[in-house]
Amino acid sequence: MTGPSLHVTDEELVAAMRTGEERALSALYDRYSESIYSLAMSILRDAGEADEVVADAFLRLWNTTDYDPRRGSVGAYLAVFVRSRALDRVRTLRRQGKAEEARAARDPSGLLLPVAEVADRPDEELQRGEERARLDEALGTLTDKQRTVIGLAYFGGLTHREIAEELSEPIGTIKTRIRDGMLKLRDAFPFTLTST
Amino acid sequence: MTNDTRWFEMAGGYVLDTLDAEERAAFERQLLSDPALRAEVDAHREAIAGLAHAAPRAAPPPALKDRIMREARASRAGGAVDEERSGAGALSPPEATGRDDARVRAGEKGPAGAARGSGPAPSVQRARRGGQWLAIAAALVVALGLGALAQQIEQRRAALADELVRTQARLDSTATRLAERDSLLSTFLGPDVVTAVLSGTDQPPSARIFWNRATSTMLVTAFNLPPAPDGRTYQLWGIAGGDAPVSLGTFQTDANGTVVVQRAAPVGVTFDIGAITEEPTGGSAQPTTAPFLVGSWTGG
Repeated sequence: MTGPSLHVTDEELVAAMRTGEERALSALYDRYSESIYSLAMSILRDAGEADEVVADAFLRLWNTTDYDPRRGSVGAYLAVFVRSRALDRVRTLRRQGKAEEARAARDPSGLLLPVAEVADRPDEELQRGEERARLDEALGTLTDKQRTVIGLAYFGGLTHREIAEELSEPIGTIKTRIRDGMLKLRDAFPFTLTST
Repeated sequence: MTNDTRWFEMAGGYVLDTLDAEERAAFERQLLSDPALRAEVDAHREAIAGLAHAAPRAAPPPALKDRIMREARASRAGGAVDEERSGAGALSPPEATGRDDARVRAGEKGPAGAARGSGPAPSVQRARRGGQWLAIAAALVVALGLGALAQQIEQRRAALADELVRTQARLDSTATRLAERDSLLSTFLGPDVVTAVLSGTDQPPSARIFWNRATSTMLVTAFNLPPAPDGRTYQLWGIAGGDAPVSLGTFQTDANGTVVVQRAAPVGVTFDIGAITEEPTGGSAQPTTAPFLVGSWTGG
């Protein structure tokens, strides 16, 4: 009989979860919750809001078959979902005129902190995982300007046009920077979001 | 599929959700019919998912997991899964949850809004009311821990591994047979091959002989030829001009009246006629019965 130290892959956990196995959902939560919660917090800046989108993500994974393992990792699915939901919430706050809440999403200094610290202060974090190290390497292939526009888009949810306005630069320039930066990221770290 | 690089250049912006509404709509129309573009989007999605690691670490509150597990248990116990699945479609996150201002303005939760806002979706709430005891039972299952799940999965994985080995063995066997067939075909379809179609006055049966002179190999095929009786066999003969027949070996057909057999052919001789007779088991030095299948060699 094999002991509980066995490593169960994400694919196996997802398959088990789809048979109604709650322990599989629990295990997936343990693997990914910190990563996606951190992402939600970095966008929303509000613990209650972050709770909601993270709960949304795992319950959707549990309740639907939207996630297709053939199209990517479950980590990517959760991260993309959480980012999208969090940005939707930020946009709603903007429309509702809650300037204080929405301010975070338009504050380049705050938004760029995550990317900037990776790029400029690589030694600050004491315990970076392998994925973080690969992220450092990948972001290192981008120019500062590319990191800036991708940071504004990723954490702030700004469109080409909004970024152009924010930086007072032509929209064509912004599109080019995003296109080139994303191609570099795609080629530099085709990794999957992993457990923390 | 398209060779238009414009779409591929837009893939990063699509995944980042920086395209304006018009660009996004056009891109999504293209996406529907372009699997290569879909793969590009998936690759970009994996890449940007990694950007989550750039976020400063923040630990989720312990109560969050309890809440999620509780709601998951309640939804499954109450049959909310089918309800969710029937209405959710199969969209992936970027397509399902992207910038949709109209939807948000209208207060719709969209396909991904099951547990949005003040609490779980209605289906989850209904399930929770009716499934308390099931939730308790499920909690006991959860208390067994992940180790038991790992064991179950490992057992399943081991079974699949065994099946894989068996499947691989079958594939190897099939590959070997195919290689033999390929070799056979190349041997008897080459330019050095002569053939003889042997037939009798009353069809069927029939036989066909392929003789590759370059490799001195012969393929004997016969159809609708009942097996020779006990103590008897079939014997193939080659006849050149007025010379005595030369034995080219004996053979037997199977219960279906078929034989496909390869054997060595004599070297340095040619024949005008091929013939098959029925002979005592072990064959005869010369035919002891009249040939019932006869034909001429052609080709080569």
